[in-house]
Amino acid sequence: MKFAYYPGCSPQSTTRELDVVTRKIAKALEIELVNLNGPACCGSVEMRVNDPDLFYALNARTLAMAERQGLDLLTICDTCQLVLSQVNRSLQKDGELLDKINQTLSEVQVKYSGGVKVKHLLWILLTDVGPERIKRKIKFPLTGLKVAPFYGCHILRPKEALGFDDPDDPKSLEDFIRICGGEPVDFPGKMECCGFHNLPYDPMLAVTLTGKYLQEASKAGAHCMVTPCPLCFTMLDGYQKEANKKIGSQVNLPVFHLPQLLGLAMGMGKDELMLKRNMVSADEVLRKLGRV
Amino acid sequence: MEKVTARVFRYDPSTDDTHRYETYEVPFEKGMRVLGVLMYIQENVDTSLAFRYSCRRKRCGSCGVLVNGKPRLACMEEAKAEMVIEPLPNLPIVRDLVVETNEYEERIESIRPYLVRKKQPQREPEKLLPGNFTAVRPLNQCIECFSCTSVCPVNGIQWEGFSGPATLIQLARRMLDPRDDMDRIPDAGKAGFEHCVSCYACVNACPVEIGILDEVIEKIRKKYIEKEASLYGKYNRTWGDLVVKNGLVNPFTLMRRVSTFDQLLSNILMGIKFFLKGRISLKGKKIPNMDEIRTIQKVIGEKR
Repeated sequence: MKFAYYPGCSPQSTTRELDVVTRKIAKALEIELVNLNGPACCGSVEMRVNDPDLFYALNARTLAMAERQGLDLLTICDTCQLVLSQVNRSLQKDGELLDKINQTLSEVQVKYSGGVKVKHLLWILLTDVGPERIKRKIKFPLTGLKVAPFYGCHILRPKEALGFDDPDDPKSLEDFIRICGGEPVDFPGKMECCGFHNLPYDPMLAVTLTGKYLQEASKAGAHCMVTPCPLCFTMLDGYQKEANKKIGSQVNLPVFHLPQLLGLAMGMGKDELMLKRNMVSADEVLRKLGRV
Repeated sequence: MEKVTARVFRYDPSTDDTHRYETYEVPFEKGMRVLGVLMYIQENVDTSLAFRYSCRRKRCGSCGVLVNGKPRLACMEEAKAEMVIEPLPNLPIVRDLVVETNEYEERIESIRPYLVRKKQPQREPEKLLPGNFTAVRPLNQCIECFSCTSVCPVNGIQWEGFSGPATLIQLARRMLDPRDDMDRIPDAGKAGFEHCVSCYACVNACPVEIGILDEVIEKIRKKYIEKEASLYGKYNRTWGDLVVKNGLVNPFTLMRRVSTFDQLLSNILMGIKFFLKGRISLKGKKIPNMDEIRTIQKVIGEKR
């Protein structure tokens, strides 16, 4: 099994552990990740507003890189997944737009034909790899661990662009937690927005939203939280203290990247999973699992 | 399916301390909608059940309710064997399923949701070319049901200064109308468009499928940043600048460049903690083939 790998910006800087651990679990599951030659930032929702022409061209360039390899694209960030899916869908549906973008890209000898699928790691684990194959690699099931699934918004909505989960009633992250042997904990905010995109200019709003979901998950009895998005992770883990301060709560909830939780169940240790980089200590979870 | 079992939210703030749920069994009829279930209950079981409706055909926007936790128009939603029917969230409850929308209607009024024309048309009837209205036409479909408001996380925490998606749709309808002569930028600022978190919850909830983020809020954002020097505009432009400079966006650099001096000062301790954890990379990574990005940018610039 082989995919073109698109790590995105955050896992190449603030959440480097996500990139490293993704590569480790991919290797263990015999998923070959093919590095592309310098794909650019997806531009997020910001660049689409500011410079739509460049936004389309750069994302088409990334899709073309995967197409040249004859591979589908694997993402590890909700926003990258959404943006690349949206651009891909527009290019596949609108021949005129595709021609216009290809004309621009011809200057750098790049052409995209619309033949790539963009898939998040979570979806690949559940479908291409499949639960049985993952379960065979699970050495230490997360028995008794109550895990709050935090989807983040851009892996669910809008449905037309993504089309994996039902955005009103998603199941994938809960299924993933069960495969790891954990117990998913339901809470109202699991499909909401962490506020990351507003953080640089509207930080109080972002931490208020984050605080609300952390409090809900904690009240629901979660021992920890897992998210498939490094941006949500940054808010939920990195800004947990700020969120507590803003909404007057005292939540102490370890947060895991998707592959960190899987790696834990596969038997990888604290160092291998780079858990020391998480701002909220995961030691309590490790103790609960008898892993210290 | 022979019958529908509906668990309905009941609450009268003038007499009840708290809400309760009552369960009703309603004979199912082919093609039955949620509104039909509510009407059956009111006509045959409990006349005191309060809910709103008018047109019964997705035009008036008055029958929005939560059906099994999701915002739906009662007149269009098919009745299911088992349903929990509740009022739309984020809005004060008048009674049972009836919610108060006055505050949001006033917010819409405050942005002057009508055409303001300084120049009269050269001749009557005025010639309108369909191509000039492609951006506005889908927004005219809004039925003001406030489903978007009911799911917006920012409206959910009653964030001060954010009018909400329903107001922004009406604002964009006028802003994008080529006949409108008013400078709508100050109203966009007052409506707090920058507080939208781009989560697509409103888009997912809209019964008439308006692209509230891509076709409304992003259009407002674009017009706003073209005219106003704001923190949001700085953020938006910095993102693009970093992509053109490095191919990637280093979140630390983005924060450093966009944050105000006060914000930077209050974040120093946190920044140190991030740094000690190795989460801050002072020198942003650059993709190896930046010349390609620059060429693409140059070609696009020349075409403009």
